[in-house]
Amino acid sequence: MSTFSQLRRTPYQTLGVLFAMFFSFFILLLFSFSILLLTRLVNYIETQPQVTVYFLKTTAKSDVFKLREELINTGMVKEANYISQEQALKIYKELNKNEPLLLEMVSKDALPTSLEVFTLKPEYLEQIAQYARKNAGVEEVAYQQDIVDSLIRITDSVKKTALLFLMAQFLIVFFVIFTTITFKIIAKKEEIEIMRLLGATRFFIIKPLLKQNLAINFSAAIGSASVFGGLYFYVGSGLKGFLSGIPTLTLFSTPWFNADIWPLNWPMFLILAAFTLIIGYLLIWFTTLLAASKYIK
Amino acid sequence: MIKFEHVSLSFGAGNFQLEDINFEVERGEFIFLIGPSGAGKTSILKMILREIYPKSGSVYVDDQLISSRKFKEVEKLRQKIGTIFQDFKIIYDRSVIENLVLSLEILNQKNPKEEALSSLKKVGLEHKANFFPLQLSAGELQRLAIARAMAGGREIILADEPTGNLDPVTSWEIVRLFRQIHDQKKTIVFATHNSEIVNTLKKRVLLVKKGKIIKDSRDGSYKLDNK
Repeated sequence: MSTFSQLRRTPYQTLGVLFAMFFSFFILLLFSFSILLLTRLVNYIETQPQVTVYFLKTTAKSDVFKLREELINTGMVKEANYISQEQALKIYKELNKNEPLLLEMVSKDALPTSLEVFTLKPEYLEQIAQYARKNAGVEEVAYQQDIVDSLIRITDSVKKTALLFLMAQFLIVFFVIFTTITFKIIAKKEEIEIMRLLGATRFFIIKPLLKQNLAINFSAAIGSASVFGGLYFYVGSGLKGFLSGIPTLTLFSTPWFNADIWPLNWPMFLILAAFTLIIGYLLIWFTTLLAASKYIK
Repeated sequence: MIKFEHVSLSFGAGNFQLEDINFEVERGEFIFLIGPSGAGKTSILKMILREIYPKSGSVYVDDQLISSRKFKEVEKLRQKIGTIFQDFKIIYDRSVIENLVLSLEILNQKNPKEEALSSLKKVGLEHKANFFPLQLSAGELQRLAIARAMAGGREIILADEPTGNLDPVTSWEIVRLFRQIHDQKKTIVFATHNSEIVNTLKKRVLLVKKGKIIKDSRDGSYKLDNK
């Protein structure tokens, strides 16, 4: 009898498992995407200059380099780059290349020289900023500890929430599958007893149930990936507006494709879908074999 | 092929079902296990199939000690044995052919359907291949059970009262089938209390009474009366 026919004979059990798995996979996809995006976003923001020290126009270049030396000697700084007025103008032009009016209005004299400082740890940002502020030649110090801190906090919260949700969800799936298999084993107790007497192994007996659950797993994974994909493309434009200015965030690259978490590209989407499918497969194998070892003697 | 050494079986303290059973069955041999109801014939068959294990003593099949609780290859052992159970043990929501195919799939046979049809032909049930067990008579169910035991090259055939509750004509049909099976050099252990069959076939007879083997007649000369 085909797997599909066997599933059709127990439609309510099949639907129960299907919905439980579909919902779990959808949550798994949603959280995996969010966590990966936030983590990559934090990494990206951390690669940006963490403290930018702007100097007065009257400050001599030698004083700028003296401060740079002092900052490096604190032992808290990973890197401190000198940005001249010419370089500042170049950066400005690059950032505003689509705004000719803004480009016309600004010359290099309007831009200050600066130091872009990267600290070894985020907690050094405050100390470095205070040290720089004391220097007489410094006009302003800008740093983005707040943004990084907020993002780290958000990411941590999302990770904890995801963990709780997913644990609860997978526990539900585990019990739904386990109960369904147990029902099926009990309903076929006599048949299983005969099969055992004929020499059937536990795996031989459980194989049709395993096949049925793997088919449900496949359908649930395809369904949840489709809904997640649809949702992403539906709310994606709003998200793009919110994250404008954030460049493409690539999770990893291969010679054949880049896996971009932002904006989500097809390879990354397929990787996420495959991930949920594999998690489902592992869960089903584990649950089915556990039920078999418990109920098939 | 099958060896019992000082085998005792009890259900509860001191209440012996079988006591000090010793016998050996050679490969290709046909033996009758005879005795009154409750003598312990079925228990002996169950121990060979390792449905139960003895309280003491050893049971060997193919030189393997199968009576140990640590014996792990139960499935492999059962795959060597075709059993005709007293209550048939046929799966009622599968058709005749599906019952046979299942048994052959357990043995990992390459063409289970072809093999199943050939076995059904041997027992004269090919025309009922797609029938369900509830549509068969007792004799036909027995033939189906025999076909299942024969199929797939199982080496040992255990038959527990295969002619019980059958009319004489059908019983002799069943006996004819057992003769065919024996011609294929299979080892057969046939538990019965049908004296006519035992006396006609003239095979080795083990007489079990009150949990003991009281006679082992190897030359087929043993005559069982109907009392």
